[in-house]
Amino acid sequence: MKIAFKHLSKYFGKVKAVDNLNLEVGDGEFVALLGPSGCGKTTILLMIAGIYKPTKGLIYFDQRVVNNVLPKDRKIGMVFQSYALYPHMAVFDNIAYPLKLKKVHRKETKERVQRVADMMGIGELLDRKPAQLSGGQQQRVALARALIKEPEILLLDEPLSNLDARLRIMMRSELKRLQKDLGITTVFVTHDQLEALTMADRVAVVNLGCFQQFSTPDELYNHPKNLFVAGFIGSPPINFINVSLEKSDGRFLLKSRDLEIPLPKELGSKAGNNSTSSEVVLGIRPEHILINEKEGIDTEIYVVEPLGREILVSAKLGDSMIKVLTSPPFKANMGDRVRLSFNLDKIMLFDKKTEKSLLLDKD
Amino acid sequence: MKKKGQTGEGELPLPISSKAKNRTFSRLQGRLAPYAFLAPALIVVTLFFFIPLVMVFILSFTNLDMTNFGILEWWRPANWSLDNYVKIFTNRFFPKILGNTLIYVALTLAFFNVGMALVIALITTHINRQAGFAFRALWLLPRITPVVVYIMMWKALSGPAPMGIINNFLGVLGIGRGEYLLNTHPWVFVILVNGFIGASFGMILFSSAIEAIPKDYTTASKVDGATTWQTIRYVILPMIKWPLLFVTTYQTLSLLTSFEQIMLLTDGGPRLYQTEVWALTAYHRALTSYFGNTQWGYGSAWAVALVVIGIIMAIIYLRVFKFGELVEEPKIDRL
Repeated sequence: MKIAFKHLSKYFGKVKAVDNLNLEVGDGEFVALLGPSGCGKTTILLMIAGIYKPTKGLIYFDQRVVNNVLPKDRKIGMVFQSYALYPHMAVFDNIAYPLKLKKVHRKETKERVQRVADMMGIGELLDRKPAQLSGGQQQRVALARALIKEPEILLLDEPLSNLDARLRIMMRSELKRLQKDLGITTVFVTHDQLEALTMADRVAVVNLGCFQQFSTPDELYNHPKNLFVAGFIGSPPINFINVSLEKSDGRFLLKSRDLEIPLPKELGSKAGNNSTSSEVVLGIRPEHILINEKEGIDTEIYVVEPLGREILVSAKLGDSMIKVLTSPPFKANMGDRVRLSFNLDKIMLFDKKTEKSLLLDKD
Repeated sequence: MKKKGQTGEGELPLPISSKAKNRTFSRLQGRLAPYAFLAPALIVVTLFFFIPLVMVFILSFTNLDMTNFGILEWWRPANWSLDNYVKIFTNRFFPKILGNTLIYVALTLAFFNVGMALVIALITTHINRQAGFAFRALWLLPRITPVVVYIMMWKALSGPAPMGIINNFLGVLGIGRGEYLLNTHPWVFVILVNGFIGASFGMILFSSAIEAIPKDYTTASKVDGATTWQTIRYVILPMIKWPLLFVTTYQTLSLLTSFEQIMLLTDGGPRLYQTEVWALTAYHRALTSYFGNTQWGYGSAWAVALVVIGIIMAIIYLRVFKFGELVEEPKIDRL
């Protein structure tokens, strides 16, 4: 089933939790809502579920406006961050609850519960109470309860955040596989970029109740639309350097007290056309900086952190710190002077005032 | 920093005997301190609760009354017998009084102290928070009004035609005949009067218990396809089982022993024993009499029998609600 928002807003008193959202989720698509805590992600999810009514705007399921449809008539399955398993019911009754409400026949209920429980690998736990289960088992029960009524939309609210690191990585791939096998349109809320990027087909980055960007993980990482997205996605985070965009001899230059980078022609003219002032933020990801001895910007190594597969080097450039990811072996020590050169194909430029990318074609 | 146990040893060398004495004293102090703290409560409970309880229990086996007071040595086992209990159960009005008590407790409990309390709690937790709070505060008024004033208001409400407010409404509807309603429908008023006060207790406990249920459970239930009623039935009610048990048990016991509102309202009337309940009988037998002959022993027997009934009821409740399961500890979380 397709989901679409048209100018969707939700206000709580004067607080604008969600403001004028437009979004389309395709049939069978796996979409992540990614953003920091309190940015309105869960509010969006609860509006899809029908728990909150939008203040303004419309929600469509396929062609139908569902603003006034009750949650029970929306064919939705939902998994909560807390799992919300009813503590007084055994696992069987928890999973069977949606069927019991629909007054499905006992025998059929039994079969369907067993089937979905076996699929989730919890067929042996049906007579336990939720308090007797581990976190991972509880999550499977919550998923089974969401899936048993064969929903057309699956909503996941931070489903992995209560699991330990090892289990989380396992459930990440398992959830992704399950979603593809079942083909259910899935909207998934998380504050963890790794979860969003690894699992989702498309990621909507949300901040302050607005979509910052809605695109594939690859687009988000390589072509962020604005400063927030660029800074939010990526670990270790992107380097931002305040520079000024200047023109001399028909070529564009990035200049600051500590560096001067001539831009390639195409890049320069694009940035020059889009910018509103000469104040620009240069963004470059740590893995797109090369360390060498001969050419580039002269810096001093502040600290070296080996991460095993890679080495994270922090270098001092004027008042700011530049993070560089390089591959071992790396010989230099703290205090050594090295030269950094930026991969100009990969740099990003943002307008300092509007915070928008200067390299994307205008909408 | 000094280590524990070194206090006074390093810098203040004391003679051995005084040190030993000090130690004995502090040990004694440690032993007595808890009792010292308990003493005020223990004294009050013993004097005003435990001793009277034992006395009532003993008195229930004697025929102590106004006429033999000071003569009868009620504390001697030789003067004890079961006569009072035989007298209770062979009393001509015993079935009437027992029936009254059952009707009074069952109806007040079901319709008000638990039923109405639950309804108010559910409604006021599902509407706007402030409105819910205001309504609950309003409902507390009868409880904080002095009971005599409260009963006077009910008497005024139920008064005959031109004065009684209820009769005025009934008159408009054409169903009232303007009588003194306390005489025509005493039971309705006995239950209403007690219920309006009684419901506030459960209302407060239930609404705080409902508000303590994490929002996720009710949201989950709605998404799972439940109507509001189904959510209440399958999620909210099971989750407030503990306060439900407590209120039911506690209110049964307090209704069984309560009589002051009935005494002020109908005093067991208007017709002979029409609204006389067990606790009121105990009071009447022990402390009031038209001829000044108050039968303390006989009254005590009524009271003791009521306590026994109360204990039996409490045990039945614990069984019905499966108290053991309610306090079962969860198994330790395992990965």
